[in-house]
Amino acid sequence: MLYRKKRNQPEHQIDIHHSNRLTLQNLKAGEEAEIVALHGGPNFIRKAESLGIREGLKIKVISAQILRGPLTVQVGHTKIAIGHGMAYRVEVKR
Amino acid sequence: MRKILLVGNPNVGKSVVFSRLTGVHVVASNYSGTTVEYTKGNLYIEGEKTEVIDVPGTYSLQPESKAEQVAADMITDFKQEEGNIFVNVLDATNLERNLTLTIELIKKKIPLVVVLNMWDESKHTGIDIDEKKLEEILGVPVIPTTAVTGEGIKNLVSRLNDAKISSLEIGNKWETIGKIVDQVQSLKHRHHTFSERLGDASIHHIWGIPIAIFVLFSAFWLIRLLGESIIGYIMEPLFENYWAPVVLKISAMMNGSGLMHDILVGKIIDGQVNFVESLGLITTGIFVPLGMILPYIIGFYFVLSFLEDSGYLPRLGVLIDNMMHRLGIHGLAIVPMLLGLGCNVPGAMAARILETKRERFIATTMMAIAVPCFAQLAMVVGLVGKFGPLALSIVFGTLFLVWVLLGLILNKVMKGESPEMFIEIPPYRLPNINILLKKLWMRVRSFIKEAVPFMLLGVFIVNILYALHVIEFIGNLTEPLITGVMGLPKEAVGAMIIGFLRKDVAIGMLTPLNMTMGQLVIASVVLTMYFPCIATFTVMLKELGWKDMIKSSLIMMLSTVVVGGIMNIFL
Repeated sequence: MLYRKKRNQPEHQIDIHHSNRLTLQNLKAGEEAEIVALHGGPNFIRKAESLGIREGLKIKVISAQILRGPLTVQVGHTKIAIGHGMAYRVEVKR
Repeated sequence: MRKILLVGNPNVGKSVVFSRLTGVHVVASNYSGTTVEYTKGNLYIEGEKTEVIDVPGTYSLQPESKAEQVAADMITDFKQEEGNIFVNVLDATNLERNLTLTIELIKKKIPLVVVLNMWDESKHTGIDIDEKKLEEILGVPVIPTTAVTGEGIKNLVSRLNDAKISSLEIGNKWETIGKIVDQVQSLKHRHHTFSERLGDASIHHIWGIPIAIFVLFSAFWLIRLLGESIIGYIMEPLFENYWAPVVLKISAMMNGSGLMHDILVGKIIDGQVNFVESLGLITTGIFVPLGMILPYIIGFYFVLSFLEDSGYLPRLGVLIDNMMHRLGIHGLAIVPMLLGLGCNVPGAMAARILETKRERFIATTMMAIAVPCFAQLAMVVGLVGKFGPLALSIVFGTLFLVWVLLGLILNKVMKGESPEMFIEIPPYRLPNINILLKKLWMRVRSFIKEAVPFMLLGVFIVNILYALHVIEFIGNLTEPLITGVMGLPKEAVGAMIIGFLRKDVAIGMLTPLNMTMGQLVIASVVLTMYFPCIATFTVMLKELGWKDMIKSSLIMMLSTVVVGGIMNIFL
């Protein structure tokens, strides 16, 4: 939904969730993974990094709300609520 | 004058540090973005007067929201002046993330002092930071504090003059931060605490919902209990036993009639003082704010402050985010809405925590139309409540429905989309009782200071307008709309005029009109919706600008007529 609206974005960003990449959004509550890359515009990346979500760090999903609601994740000692669409942009590996 | 700027990430306790340094009390809460505007206070360092400024929290010097913009602009402005000091407040439990801003500040080449706040909590959570080592690496003073208890504040004051421009070499930002953290911080493994388990349960997609219902239900139960107890045990006995005889004496001294008597005392019915209906300055004018509203205000702000400090509100925001997105705002907009329920003025200010102009417009308009302030709410409960819970449910149910429909419509009609939620969730904390009571006192005091004079003025103007037959005149003029469409007596227009001054007085003015239950219900809804009071209007104008304020006002008036008309058909 979110990506369909943003037509002006570069192609590689629109297709994230059609690819085989594992993203934060694919993880279940309680799962932990390592952040591989952030896909998105400079604003998103800057905001994510300033909240402590960045490449190489461990990230754990605490909860995910139903019907595409936000996820709550933990990085270090920080808990962060992140929207469903944004969670697609955080690529991870188990 | 030399200035000290307190800068740091949101929710690290800057406002508490500020209060400790200056003795000026500002509202602090356990979530990001309580401070949306800067606050100033004074501090004497070795006899020299220094101005301390509490800057809204920001994650970086490239701002995301309006509140962060305030911070970034201030840092740029004050950096130009010689002698200014920047105190970077860090949350010691989140060293790595907080250092991001520190590194950005160091790059600006400004005189810096670093404060590691929440020191006690970092110890409890098994984080050990070598502050001496950190000081050595950064080349600026590093002071551990626990601002809530005041620990470390003296040390901070004594070292402010040691502020230095760091000469730390920064290559890659993340590598630098990583290296620093490796050198100064060691973590002990520990088990999950009870509060953490509870914290996780309260944002669980299933368990979170009954917990939210329980919390909100308890909150309203407690507000009612507090409000009714204060009224029943303190206010009513005080007014009936001590103040009523005084009023009767004054009335007798003025021979019980005349214009002055009516303005001061109002109508004495069968030799009895009726504090609600007599509409005099020393009867209704002081009884309404102190005897009917203040007790509920105390109850409301006590509960709200507790919820704020506990850290629950952002979690509630996460739970309802989904629903709120359909209304064009995200979950965190629950904060301006709840604050607006206390008073629309801080509610409109708090809308600054939302990122886009669109969201701020939708949230502020929704709040101004469908969220009554607690003073007004208390009056509605007092007047409509006597018809039973059904009448009250119709009033608040209608307002809730209007709130939802308005959001749905605005979200459909307005261009653009609302960004997703991306916020930090604070840890649960047991509210510190001293800070809680201070915050409660600040809010109650501002109610007394701002509401009481306006209410007296309102009652005064009502009497003058009645005496000059102005209300009658406007009533005749607006009769087709007020009576024709909404089914209210034309005298109700007087309440709408006064409602611009104070909504609670306006509701009070409906009492002598002998309206039916249906009319009273409609009037309560209409008085909430039609237009904000002058205080809210001023703040909204400042926050939204002329153009959007006109848009917002048109939406208010149009929706009032529509809703009033529909209700008139059914009731």
